Amino acid sequence: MIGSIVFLIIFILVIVYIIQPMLLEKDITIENTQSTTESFLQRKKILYKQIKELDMDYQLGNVLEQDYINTRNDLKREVSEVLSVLNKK
Amino acid sequence: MIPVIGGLALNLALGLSIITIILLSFHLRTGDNRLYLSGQRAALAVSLVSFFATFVLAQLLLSSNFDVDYVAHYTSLETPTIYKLTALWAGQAGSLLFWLFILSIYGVVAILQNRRSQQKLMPWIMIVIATVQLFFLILVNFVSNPFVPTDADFILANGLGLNPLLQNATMVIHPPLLYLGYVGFTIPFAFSIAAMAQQEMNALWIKTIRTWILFVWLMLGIGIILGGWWAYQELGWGGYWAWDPVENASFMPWLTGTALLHSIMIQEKRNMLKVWNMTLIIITFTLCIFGTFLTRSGIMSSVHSFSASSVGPIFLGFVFLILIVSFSLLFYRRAFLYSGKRIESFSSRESGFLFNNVIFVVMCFAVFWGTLFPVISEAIRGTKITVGAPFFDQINIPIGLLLLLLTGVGPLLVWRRTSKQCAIRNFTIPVTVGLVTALILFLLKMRGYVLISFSLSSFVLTTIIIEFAKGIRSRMRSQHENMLIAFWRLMRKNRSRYGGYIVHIGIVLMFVGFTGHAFDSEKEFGLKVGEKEHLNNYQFELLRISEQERPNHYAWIADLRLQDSEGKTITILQPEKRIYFFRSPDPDRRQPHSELDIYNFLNSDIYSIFNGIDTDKGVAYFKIMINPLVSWVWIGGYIFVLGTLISLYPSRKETVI
Repeated sequence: MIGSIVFLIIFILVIVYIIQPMLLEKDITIENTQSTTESFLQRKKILYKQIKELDMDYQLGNVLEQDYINTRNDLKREVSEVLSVLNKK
Repeated sequence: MIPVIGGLALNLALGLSIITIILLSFHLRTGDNRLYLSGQRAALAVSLVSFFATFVLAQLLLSSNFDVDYVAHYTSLETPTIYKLTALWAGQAGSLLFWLFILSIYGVVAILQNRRSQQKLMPWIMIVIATVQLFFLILVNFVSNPFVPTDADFILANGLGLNPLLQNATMVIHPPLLYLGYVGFTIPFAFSIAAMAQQEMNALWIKTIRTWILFVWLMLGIGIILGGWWAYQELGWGGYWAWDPVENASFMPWLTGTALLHSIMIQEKRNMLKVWNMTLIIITFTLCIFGTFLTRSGIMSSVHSFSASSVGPIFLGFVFLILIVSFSLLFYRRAFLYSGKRIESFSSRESGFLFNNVIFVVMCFAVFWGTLFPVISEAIRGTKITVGAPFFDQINIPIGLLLLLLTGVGPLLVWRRTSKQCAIRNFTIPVTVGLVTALILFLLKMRGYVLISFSLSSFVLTTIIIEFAKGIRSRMRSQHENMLIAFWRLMRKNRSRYGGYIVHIGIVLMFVGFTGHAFDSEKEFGLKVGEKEHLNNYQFELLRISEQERPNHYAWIADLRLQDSEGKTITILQPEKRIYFFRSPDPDRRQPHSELDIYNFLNSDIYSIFNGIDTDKGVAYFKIMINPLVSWVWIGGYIFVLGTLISLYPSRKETVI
């Protein structure tokens, strides 16, 4: 008996919990933490990490100087593109 | 009453999963955010109600409520409490509910963690998770319900009890970890379907998915290693891997998951291989469902048991549904996924990773084919052709050695292009070490795979040690740090890279352990108290046999003195012969079981099995195995876990370039 009462309470609570947002205004907006900005920040972080790794590989003697300069310039160009997008936001 | 509540909770969860899918689908059509919020709440509610149902079953098992068929089948009054709890995943119905339980945990974490940062993808992510939940809810509601009452007109005094093989400490954690791996791949799959459906796959998406993949891959890896450890400790045949279909079922998604971990890095760094990565995610997830199907359908024992099994066809149908829907979406979105970029050089890290991906997939296909061949042959020709360990060894040992080689080559390649000069400089010392090792082993009369495996292991270890040494030396020079601080900071600032190298060290040590199998030796003999036997340089003396009556079994315990060649006592081995359910009036119910005792050295294991006892003659029968290098499999496993944890640990600082 107690079990069925507990289950009935759970059932009612679940239904109320789900239906409650439907009682809000139709044009409700959902809080958004600017996932696009976060994504560009993440891209920036990845590019920084790649530059750091490249620097390290160069220091360790795994990359020739010319390859190092070319790749680093490519990565820096990409970083500046990301930064310009972020500055506009 | 409580079992009825469990059943009702499963009904409610089923209804809620359907409501989730409907609400979120309408939100995607109409853009009405109220539907999104309700759908999100319904998705959370499915998980909460599934938790509730799982706790109800756990409570029934712990309280030995034999009114429930599942409880009566997998526990008895004598079953120790911890194993009553592990009975939750011992049978089909319970394990399907446990699958749902883990998926619900992952679902709640994925929703709460990403509901803001991945808002655009969330409706699709929740729909996919709810669909997989719905599938398992259909199974536990209508096909294999764990709350079905006992089919008896009388009250059961006791249950049948848990299989003795499952009454082992490893079995407490091995299945949950394996499930954490299997089930966890649902989340990257959901993210991938969402990304393709919404045509949004940004850097944040890659970061999220990579962390999930790494975590669930680790869980699956630990689960597989623990499975091997359990087989070694419990099954008494002296090995840890037998290419059994159930083992293969867990190994296949681990292989494609490993490939994915490497190729997702290429997507992260070069924005390439998106179609390939989507394909790998779909295949890995499908293999996880397929693995559950292999384990739970009974198909592997016989095709006929498959036809008799009710979950088999449903699982197979779901597998096909996943493949058709996912690959159709992939084809439909191919233009969005196409990056237009190409690998710049054959001697680049991208190229190395791609090559290792191909090898992993080939290995997975070989395992898949070997696993399913008996079923296919029986279905087509009516005769079952058994594919045993020799087939798998023949195919997979060369592939495995090729992967071992790539483990050493990968760290020496850099992104985009490795110049010829750098390649020659980096490869010279490791290749020389590998060749010198090969020469020494050749002179020691080692040949074939043993020689190749040890030589490649030395090559790979050298490459990794050199990478560490170069990094430490560079820091010592540029930052004026001492060696220990340089090592610590090198690791801390490059967790992903050096964590990966540590994983590779673990893999190499495991290969060393696998190779030790070539030197195994064994002997079977009978001894009376006071008698001795020899194997290799060891002597075994039976000191005494004692008997003990324990709560769930009766045991004969042998005291075997292990001595070295000089007669010095190393240890007293105590293998046991047990009879489970010994109080049962039905002799057929009594189950004999050999509990092993293993003495571990770093270079070999002494593995003792108490085969049986002739009480009339007073003779005890033993099997002793000497298994060289097995410890290195487990040491490698620990290092593998450590390396993955280092890679997983989030970095806090962002460096300004």
